[in-house]
Amino acid sequence: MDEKIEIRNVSKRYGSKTALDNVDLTIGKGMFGLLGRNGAGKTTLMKTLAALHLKNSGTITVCGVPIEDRKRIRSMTGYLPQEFSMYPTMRVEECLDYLGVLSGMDKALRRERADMLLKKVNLNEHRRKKVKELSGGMKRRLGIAQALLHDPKVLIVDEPTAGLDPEERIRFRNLLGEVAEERIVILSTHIVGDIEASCEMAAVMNEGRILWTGRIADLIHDAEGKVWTVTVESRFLPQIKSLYSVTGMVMQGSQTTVRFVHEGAPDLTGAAETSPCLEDAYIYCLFKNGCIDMGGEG
Amino acid sequence: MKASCYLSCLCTDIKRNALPHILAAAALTLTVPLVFSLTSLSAPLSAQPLEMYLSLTGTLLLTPVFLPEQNEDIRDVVRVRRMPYLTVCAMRIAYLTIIAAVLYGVITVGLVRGESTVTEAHYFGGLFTALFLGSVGVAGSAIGGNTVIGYMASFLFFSANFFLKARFGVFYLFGLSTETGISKLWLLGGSATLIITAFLYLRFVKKL
Amino acid sequence: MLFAKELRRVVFSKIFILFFAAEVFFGFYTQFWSDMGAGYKSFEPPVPGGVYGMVVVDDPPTLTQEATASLINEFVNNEYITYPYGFIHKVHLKGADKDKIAVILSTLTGISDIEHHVSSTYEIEYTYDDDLKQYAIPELGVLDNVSIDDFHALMTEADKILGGGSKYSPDEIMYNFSLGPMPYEEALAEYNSLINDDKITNGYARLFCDYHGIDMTLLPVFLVAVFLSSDKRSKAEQLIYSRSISSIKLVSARFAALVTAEMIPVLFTAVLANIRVAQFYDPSMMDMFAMFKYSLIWILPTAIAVTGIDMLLTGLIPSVAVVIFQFGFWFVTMLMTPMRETFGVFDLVIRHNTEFDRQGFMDNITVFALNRLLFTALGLVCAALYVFVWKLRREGRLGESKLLSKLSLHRH
Repeated sequence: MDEKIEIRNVSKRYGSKTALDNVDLTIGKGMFGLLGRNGAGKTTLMKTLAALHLKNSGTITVCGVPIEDRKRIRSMTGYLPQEFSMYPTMRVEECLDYLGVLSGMDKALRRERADMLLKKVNLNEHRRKKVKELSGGMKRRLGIAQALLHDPKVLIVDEPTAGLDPEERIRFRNLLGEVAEERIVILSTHIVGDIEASCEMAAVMNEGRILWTGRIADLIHDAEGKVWTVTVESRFLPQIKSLYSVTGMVMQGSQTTVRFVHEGAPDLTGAAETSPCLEDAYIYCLFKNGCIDMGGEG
Repeated sequence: MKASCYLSCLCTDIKRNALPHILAAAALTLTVPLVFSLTSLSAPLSAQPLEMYLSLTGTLLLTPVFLPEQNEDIRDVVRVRRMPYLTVCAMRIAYLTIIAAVLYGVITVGLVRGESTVTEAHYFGGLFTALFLGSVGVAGSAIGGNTVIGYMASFLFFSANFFLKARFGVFYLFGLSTETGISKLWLLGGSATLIITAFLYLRFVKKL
Repeated sequence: MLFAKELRRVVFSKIFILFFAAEVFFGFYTQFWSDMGAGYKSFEPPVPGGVYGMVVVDDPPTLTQEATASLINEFVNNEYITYPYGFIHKVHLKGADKDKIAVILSTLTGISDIEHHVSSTYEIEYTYDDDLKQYAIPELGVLDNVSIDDFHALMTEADKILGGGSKYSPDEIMYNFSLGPMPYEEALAEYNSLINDDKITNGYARLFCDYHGIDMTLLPVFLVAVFLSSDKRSKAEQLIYSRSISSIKLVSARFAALVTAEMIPVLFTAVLANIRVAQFYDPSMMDMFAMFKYSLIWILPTAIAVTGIDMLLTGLIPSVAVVIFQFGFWFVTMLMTPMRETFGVFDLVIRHNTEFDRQGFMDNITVFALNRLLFTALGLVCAALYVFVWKLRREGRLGESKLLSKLSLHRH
């Protein structure tokens, strides 16, 4: 069986608003990052892949199974929604057991998988705790555990690290990385650092369209020669911002070191070319596709 | 805080939150002349529509006072504001009480025009009955943490008054209709007590 | 397994505790001690020369005389007492309607100007409400003017003119004007029927179900509304939707769990009712399963119907609106349903407010059976429609806003 997701010319509309506009993607095994602004259409695409939304046109196959075969899709897909929660008075192990029943798993398998996953996500000591007693990070880990419960071929995680502290975020990314060794994992986020740390392949979305897809290294390579730094008096900052797409600023007293994206050498004394990071490359991608103008505003 | 803030809050609340409940109470009021005769009624019979039917406007208006913020996320966003959340709820109860008073006024005028025997005791007694019933709903919502539980408490208390009758003592809702002679001020006091209890519970137990 | 999990979720919820308490309290109050006059009593065999209550008797002369006299008095005062919606209505007729009543009275009595005849000929028995007069109406010989069938037709016509709910309606006329003392033989036959045919508890079981049928028409809505909205409140909706379980399986399990949970307090009070009845009679003479049998054939269909309908409504409109709707329906039903042993195929609340009258119940057994089957089917159909609605929502085909939520920002 194909171990990839094929999305061909998929569109979805909500009334007059186009949420997905001729999306074309192939997602293979491993971690795949979906990067985009808020409102880019990432969640709509995630939900469509999880068979929670209907597309208006195009085709989607998940490991050779058409998306219209909802029952098979749901049995192959694990989903961690953006706002994850469960019944507050249920205990952690009860949640997993209940969701396992909803996934059609028998008792022995549920128990085995739940035990294994609780250890994997470091919730074993908290299995008797009620959901309302869990911290944000613990809840997310429970979310991952339930998404993996039925050993799905595809794992869809929508903004999983939003609201987590740095330590939790790193732990979560590492966990996802482990999980991605054996399956397709789609990580949708607007936090570039998450993609940079864990994905090899990615796509950039904006206003329902795919602007770019490919290897992260290639995206960064495209931005070579386009990223610059300059140190200026802080009072010149508004001018800099109006002329260039600023990706970073570090204030040091009355001076500010500005990092920005620009096609070709900028007309600025002291500007030096610098190696791009993924964030720069992302901004450059938006800039190249006309999603932001010179002044960095969309 | 400026008075204009309170006024804006009030207008938004009526428009966005309370309107369906006000319309439901108004619809109930409009059905009173269909269900009851309002003409040439004696004092006990005049009290019937006010106690045994229109009092449900109290349930419809007051019970959903906490409903807009039943979702915790919304409640958290509202709670961090300068205007205390419980002040907003108190304001709601105040204007909804006025609306109940207006609805009672409409039916009382109908009774007067129908040459039924009706006094101030009927008007205020009926209104206090509605307020008490609504307060049972408010307390149920607050303590149960769910508006449906508030409705359950209020509706069941109302229904139980038909079966258990004067066993409710001073809190019997239909005293004027059955001429028990018990003052309706007990219901007013009970109403205030229930609302204060609900607020104290939310403030000190739920820490809102 | 899923059914067991859903049942566990229902039974261990806060709302179920309140539901259970309300059902048991109501059942306990009505079955074991009550000032409505229908708490369980023990019965001794009737002795000759005693008083055994009143029954409807077939006595056309009394019926026609009493009913006509009552209509005459109300006509002369132009004030008719009716109960179209359970509450008292005072009707004052004008113009054509008043003339129609005059024609009816004229047909019944053979007297043309009845108002003048009464005020000039008959004595006033008493005056009430300051100016309303009760005349002593002598024997009118109504049956000399009309047949009994014509009499009933004219009274039905009068009831229609008055807007319904009057003493003269077909449902009420016999109970208002044709009651007589129950004869000893009939009282003895009723008692023997209770002891021998009903084995005691079957009679009490009908009374048990008469009361539980009332609360089962209202209380389930609270359980359904809170339980079904828990997915949304807990933000677990998307998670549940994304599972591979079929919509029909999940909804069916929840429906079955709700109905089962609703029957728990009924069966619990059935046990208590058995114990109570056993305090009055020799248990060896009792049918120990009667309470449970009747609960299943009488109360269970009500639970199924109410749960199914409320589930469907919860899928379409906010829970709060469903609760208000169900209470309104229940309130109107209670006002309009008479307490006596009469019911039709389309009556959700079946009344049989007595331990006796086994024969009356058995005479209506076909109607009862059809009624219960109809409401069971209705409940199941509504539950099936809810599966459809739930599936549409799961697939994103039904927008998040429910019907009435358009009026309000918040969804619950």
